[in-house]
Amino acid sequence: MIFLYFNGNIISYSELERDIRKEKYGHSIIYEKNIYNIFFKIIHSMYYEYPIVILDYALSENDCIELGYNISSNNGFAVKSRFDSYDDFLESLINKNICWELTLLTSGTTGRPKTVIHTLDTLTRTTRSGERYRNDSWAFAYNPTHIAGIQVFLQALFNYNSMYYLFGDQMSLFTKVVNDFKINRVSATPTYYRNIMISDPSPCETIVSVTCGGEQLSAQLVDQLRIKFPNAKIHNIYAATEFGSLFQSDGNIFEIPESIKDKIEINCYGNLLIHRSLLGKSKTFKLINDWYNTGDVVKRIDQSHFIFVSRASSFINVGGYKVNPVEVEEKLEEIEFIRDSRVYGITNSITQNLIGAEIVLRDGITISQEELIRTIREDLRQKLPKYAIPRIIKFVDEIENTRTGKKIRK
Amino acid sequence: MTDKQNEIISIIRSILSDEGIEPQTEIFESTKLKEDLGFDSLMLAVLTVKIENEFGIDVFEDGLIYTVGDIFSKINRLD
Repeated sequence: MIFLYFNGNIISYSELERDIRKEKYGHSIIYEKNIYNIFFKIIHSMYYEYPIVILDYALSENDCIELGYNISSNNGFAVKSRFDSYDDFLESLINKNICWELTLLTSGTTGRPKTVIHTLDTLTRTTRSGERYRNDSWAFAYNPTHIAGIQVFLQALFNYNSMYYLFGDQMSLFTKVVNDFKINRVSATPTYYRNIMISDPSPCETIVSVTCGGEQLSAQLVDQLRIKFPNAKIHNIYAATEFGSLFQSDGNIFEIPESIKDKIEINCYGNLLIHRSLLGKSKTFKLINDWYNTGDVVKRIDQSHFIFVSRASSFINVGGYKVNPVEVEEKLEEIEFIRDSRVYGITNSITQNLIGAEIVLRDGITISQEELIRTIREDLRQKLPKYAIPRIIKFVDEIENTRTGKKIRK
Repeated sequence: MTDKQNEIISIIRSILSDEGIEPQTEIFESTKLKEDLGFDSLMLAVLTVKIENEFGIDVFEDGLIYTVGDIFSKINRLD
């Protein structure tokens, strides 16, 4: 049984078990480039029950020191496990009967990352296990050091599922690997899906479940996903480093599970509030009467359902008007010659921000850039208010993403 | 007119053209951005971003820009 496929290498579950049982030293910091080493060290820390911190390898050693983690003094310490076998361990893991903590960093594109301490309770709230999940296999399409990646990893681990690492420089192989290995599940950001559809538009028929997380999902992308994954159910998941995943949606409508209904509130501004009992631990959380304001704006449909209006943090303030970049991108991508786009704020001293856009054209467009810009402006004038129309437009070959696979908004 | 001044005029004309505005007058140093050319705050914001991209200076930083000549003066200070 394959545990992990990465860069053409295959590690089986029996090799993983052998490595875990053989290594008798633990390290409290995971700072690794190699995907197998990251997963191996996480499982090792659970098997031998010691707390760990995961740092993104994109951080420099100096960044890590500034955050309070000295990589050079990450010395090994002897460990001993109470489990007789990997199966014993797995049973305890699924029953959350393991003494373990995982510290993650928030992945904000601006400012200093914050640390959040998670336990199995906060990380596996939506993890499922059992016979019906046993034959699943995962296209692993997140940064493995961030929460969405950790949650896919745990779902796979709970069910002896195979993971195929297709993030970062492996992304262009997505369609080939999914079809070659008959992978049936994928979870990724909307930006990731846009990218893989551009690399190879041919369908992935073995995929039965497509999950989107981390960014707002547009109706247009859902339509495109239905073509790329003709046999899949498409879900949207709401999760954050602060609290793990909380809700899943069918289409755009999110359901609040009965079990956490009294821990979710929507205030008079439409902000989604989360009760402190659902959060990981962090000194940086600002709570008001035990409630954490996500800053995201939602609209209640009924007692158990809501839709997202926008991620508040993603709004761009243009002279006092709030612009939702996802909405502008949707309008841009309705124009026939535009394949992909990224809308962002350009700071200035007059209106605080101005809307800028990077645009990837479809193949074979020979019209001059000036003519294209004129057509884009004329088209958007019919659809968007003046302040939301991109004023600075650049044509690029591809859209750059953050380390977590989201569009950069700055 | 210097090359830099010509470049500024060309940026102003491109912004007017993007808005579909045909300037009623020729553009002189004394031409007022708002009153004579009809610049609104968004057009001024584009102007400041484009000038900053070109010359590396935020000419509107202290808010005292009324005429085309005011921009010339700020740019000339770079020399």
